Amino acid sequence: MKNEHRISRRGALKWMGTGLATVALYSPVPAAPDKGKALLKPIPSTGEKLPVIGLGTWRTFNVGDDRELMLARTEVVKAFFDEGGGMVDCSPMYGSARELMGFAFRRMDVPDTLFSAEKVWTRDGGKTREQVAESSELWGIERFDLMQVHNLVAWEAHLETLKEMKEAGEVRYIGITTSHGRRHGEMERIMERGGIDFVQLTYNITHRAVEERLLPLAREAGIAVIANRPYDGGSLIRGLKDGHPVPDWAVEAFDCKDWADFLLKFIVSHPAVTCAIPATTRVEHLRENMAAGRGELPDADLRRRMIRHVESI
Amino acid sequence: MMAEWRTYAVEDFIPFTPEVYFRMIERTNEAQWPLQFFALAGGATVVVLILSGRVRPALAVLSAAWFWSGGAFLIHRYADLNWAGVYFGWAYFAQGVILLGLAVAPWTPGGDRMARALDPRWLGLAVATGGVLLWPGITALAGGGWARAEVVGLLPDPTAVATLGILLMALKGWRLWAASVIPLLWCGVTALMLRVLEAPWAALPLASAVLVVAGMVWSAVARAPAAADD
Repeated sequence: MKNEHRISRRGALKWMGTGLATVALYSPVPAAPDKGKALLKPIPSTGEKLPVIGLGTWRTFNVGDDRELMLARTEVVKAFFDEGGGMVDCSPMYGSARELMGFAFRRMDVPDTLFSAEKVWTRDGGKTREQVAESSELWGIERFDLMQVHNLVAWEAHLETLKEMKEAGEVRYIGITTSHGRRHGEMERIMERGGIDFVQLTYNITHRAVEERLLPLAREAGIAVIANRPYDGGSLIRGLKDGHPVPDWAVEAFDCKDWADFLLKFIVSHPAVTCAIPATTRVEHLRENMAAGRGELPDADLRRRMIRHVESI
Repeated sequence: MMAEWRTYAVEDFIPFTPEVYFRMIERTNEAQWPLQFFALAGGATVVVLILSGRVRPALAVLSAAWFWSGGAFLIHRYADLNWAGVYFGWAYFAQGVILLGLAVAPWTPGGDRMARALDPRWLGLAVATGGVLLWPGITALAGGGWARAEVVGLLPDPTAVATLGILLMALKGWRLWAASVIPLLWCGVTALMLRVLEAPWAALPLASAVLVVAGMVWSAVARAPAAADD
């Protein structure tokens, strides 16, 4: 979140210096309505606060060199920051998503709220620094806020190097990721060893296996949690939107606006979860997602009722 | 480990959205225009050559289709979206080498005319014609317009389908089986991918492969008593 480490800030200032015409050329994001106060949660290892809704990039930001789609996704990134967004999560596994982040950042004034989250994804445990440097160049930033070992691939070697990089101030936080409920046992062992700031895992209203062991352990060990696949790859929210209105009791209880609000608030209301990272290709969906990061959160009783309701559909 | 593999779905291996993939087809067509006409003519020529018993030149032309679609599409474009694209591209090059090898190697192609009925090569002709002539129409009509038409020699799916049909018409015995492995595998891969991308024609590559395998088995059974030329 510290802006002095970003090349993109300098780049953005240069762009600003060339005139507002550049901004106008790429159709600025429409002004958002009165947004209310964004919900923030602390990263346990430092207390630094993050907006509870971040931005995932799996599938959605892999557009190759299709300029029309690159510009369209840039609008999504602009809208994300316009809505007060913080964490953007990416990976070398996501095709051209890293290039797209650099493309988008060259076309906007990257705000101080950016919390850049990347991953190391290579079986070669000796290539940690090389891949971090490559990602840094593609994003156009000097230092990542968070660097994670993707899907625990060669995690021992990568984590060792990442710890050195963190000590040297080359990354601010380090972590590990998994998804789809895979390798939870191994993740648990790494969390118990300590030395990591973040874990990323799949958690949504229909995939709650992490509630048993990993989320309580994260709280106990002071590790921040990023929830991926909040909509189960899109199928969950598509199924719910298809002919099912959000229940009236949810509207009354926490002013639930739509299914995005329902599903995301369920996730981020878990005490161990720091943020969720829904991915989208569309600005209107992005704004729905971000709206879930404001207002009231459901309590434990309400969360149980939310589960029962979704399971009954 | 097996339990972990069961948690994977085909979707996990498709790191892009349908919009991105089909726009890539469209942009490839734009970039290669008007090669589509030459490719269609080339595909039709290959079928005619096979029908007239000229197997070697047909296989040589067909090998060019694999080199082109592997290099210009899979490696040059598709690999930007999917790291596996490079490996798919190399598989296409390998198929090009196999076909070129068959075109120049010292063996004696059959070249006999197809029987009027009950010849598995009719199945091959049907699949080859579908791959060359029908595929562009099907993908255009079901995929959102002629800009998204997939043409043999330029894009991998019609190239694989047409090749399977042509091989069934042109080859027999172990050569037929060996030369069909990569196109058959591709038909399986692309059918799964198209299903994830919700393409209405997703089942067609697999259906074509099943037809050709049936023809290959038929061909093997029919010639079993007198398998002398291998």
